[in-house]
Amino acid sequence: MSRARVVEVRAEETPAEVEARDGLREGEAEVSSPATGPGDSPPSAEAEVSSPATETGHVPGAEPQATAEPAAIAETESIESTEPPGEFAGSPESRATEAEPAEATEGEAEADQATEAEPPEAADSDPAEAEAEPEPAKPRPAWLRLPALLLTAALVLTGAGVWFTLEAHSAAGNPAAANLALTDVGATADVTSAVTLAMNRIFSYSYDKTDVTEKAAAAVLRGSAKDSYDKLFAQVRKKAPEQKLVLTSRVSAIAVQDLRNGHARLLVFLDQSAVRADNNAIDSAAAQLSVTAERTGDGWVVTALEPR
Amino acid sequence: MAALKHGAVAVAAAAAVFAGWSGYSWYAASHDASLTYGVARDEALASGRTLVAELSSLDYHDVNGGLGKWLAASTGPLHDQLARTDPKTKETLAANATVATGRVLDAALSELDEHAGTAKMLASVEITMAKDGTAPAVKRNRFAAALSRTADGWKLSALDQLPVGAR
Repeated sequence: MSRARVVEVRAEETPAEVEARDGLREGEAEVSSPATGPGDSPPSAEAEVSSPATETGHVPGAEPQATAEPAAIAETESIESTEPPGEFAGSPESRATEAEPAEATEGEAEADQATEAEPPEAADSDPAEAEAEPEPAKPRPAWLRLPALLLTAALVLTGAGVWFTLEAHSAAGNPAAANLALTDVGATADVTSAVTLAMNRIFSYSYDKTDVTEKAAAAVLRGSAKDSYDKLFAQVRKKAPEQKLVLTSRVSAIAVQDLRNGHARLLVFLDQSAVRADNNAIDSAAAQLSVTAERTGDGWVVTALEPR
Repeated sequence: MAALKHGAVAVAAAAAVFAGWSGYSWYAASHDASLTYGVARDEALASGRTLVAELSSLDYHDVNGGLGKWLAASTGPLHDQLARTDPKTKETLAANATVATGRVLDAALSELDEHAGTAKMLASVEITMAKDGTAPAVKRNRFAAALSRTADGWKLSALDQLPVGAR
């Protein structure tokens, strides 16, 4: 059948060409006939290689014939399809020499076919095996990998968490955060007004009413501030009545430097003006004080006074 | 196997929660308004002390250099005012033959507007006037300074002495 097709196809060719081809065909047949012989190694290898492929579709008994005939078909068809028609006009020698490579390529084609046929089989057999025993083959690495990955991630996250916590603590422990001066507006205003009032009262007196000032001082002064003030005021009590002295102090400017845990430090600018009623002499002075205050149940008390 | 997996998931989830919480607490602590405001306050005060000391110091040997420092320490109206210093004033300053050295004894911020980048500062400054051949004179001054935040940090936009009865 295949040869009839070959003849039919080549019927269009010139008789000379057909003759040449017939000659070629005979030569080819001689060349190819050993190829179909069972004894020769390349064809037998070919047959063996192609056997799995033929098992699927071809009848086993027709194997030699099947391999022989397709070989011819493949040969002629490959010549017809891959090689340009002009080459058919080539000399028998060249045809003969070309026939072997054609066979070789055909063999390769068959081998290719065979190898192509095998992978699907292998692929078919794999799922079957996987179905039979699914655990050990594929999923094992995943089972082992997932916990390991999770634990690694946990380690990294824990490390990051520890770092963040330390940073958060150091940020919260920043001295700038602990000092509430100006940041806590209410507390700053509270201590500012308390100290302003206290300064105005304790540094203002009239020679005839020193006890009023003393009472005010006793109420707002504590510690070293009280000690130094008492020493100062002992002289005032002695000299003020003589000079008929009236001292008026006014806080001209005040600012909180530090405010934390009920302790505050302020810078106070005082304007003082002294009037001597005995000779109407007026004297004014500027004073700068560093005031330390402490919060008690009743309010703020001044614990230290330092000239600045 | 399943127990191991669940255990690992639980540990990882706990670690993620811990990291998230601690990250948030860090963020919250470092972006806390009182912290950023407090940092700005301390920066302004530290800068202000240095700037006031610079502006209350002048060496007659190098009046132009001193004025240059004053200009570098100031901004806004104070800068403009200092920039207008005429040659005659410079001559007078040089002729005074005085080395003035300012030292800030105490200072505190009375106001701070972090968003506007402005602050007001009180400073008690001791200025030592050293004149060749005479004993140095030490004077205490009270200053009210206005600070403005610029691209180069805090600068003085005003520096006023506070004499008695100024307010």
